[in-house]
Amino acid sequence: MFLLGEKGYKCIGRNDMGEPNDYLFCWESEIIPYIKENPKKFKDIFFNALHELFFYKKDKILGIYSVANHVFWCSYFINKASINLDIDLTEIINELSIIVDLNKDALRKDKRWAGAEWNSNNGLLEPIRRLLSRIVT
Amino acid sequence: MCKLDAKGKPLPEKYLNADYIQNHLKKFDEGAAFIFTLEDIANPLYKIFNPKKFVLLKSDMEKIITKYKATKNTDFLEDALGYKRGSLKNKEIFVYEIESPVVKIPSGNEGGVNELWIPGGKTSGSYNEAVLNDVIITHNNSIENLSNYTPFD
Repeated sequence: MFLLGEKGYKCIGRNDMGEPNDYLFCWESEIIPYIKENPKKFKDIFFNALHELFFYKKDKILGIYSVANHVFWCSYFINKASINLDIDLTEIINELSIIVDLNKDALRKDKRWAGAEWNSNNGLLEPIRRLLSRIVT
Repeated sequence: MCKLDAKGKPLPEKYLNADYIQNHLKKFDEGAAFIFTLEDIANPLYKIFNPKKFVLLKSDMEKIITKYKATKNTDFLEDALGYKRGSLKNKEIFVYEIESPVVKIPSGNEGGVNELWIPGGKTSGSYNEAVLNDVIITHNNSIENLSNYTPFD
């Protein structure tokens, strides 16, 4: 629930994009401090949670979208050296890429969040593919 | 008014008189400004700012910057702008200025409104705010693609 921002776990810092969760603020306020306290535990907890999100029955697209966001911010903060984490994101990115392809029609039709018409001509498909092409591992 | 459900706040025209709205928006003829950080433009999911982005009156932003520079206290900055405490801590902050902005009075239904939002076009820190009325500002995930910005410090 925390990674999705549902059931009282929604983080709101100052993101004004209308996101389901303020993923950046989640990382800065909760996840990074947790990693610093529990560097060895984090990897398994994180990957298990992301795999659950891939198959989030209540809203599959929200699950995929949340995985994309969390993988991006994890990569961002590793590259910025804000966190010292022995983690390889290649496999989860490949899985995300496959799941995006499997769900491309539903993603294309979904105009929520980054899929809004002011940001994309193809719903969530275009922004998530852009994210996948630019993410640095 | 402040206790209404965040998902269904009424339009400001329902509870503010037309003169109040007109006078409030007229103030923005002097210009508007908003702050951003490098993280705000980093996520490749977005290549532009929200076209309905919250902005402050330019002169109010100048007052905030002056006061912030004297203290370097991000708590003051977050309170003034109506952000959650901690959301600007240790960040490199930039100010983006807009001449002759096209703005509306906020309804509270905009994306990312938090529990600090209050009706009437003021931040919880009592500075004048509005929202852009579908104004496209493209950043393409790089500050190099923006022009009207200056570092906060």
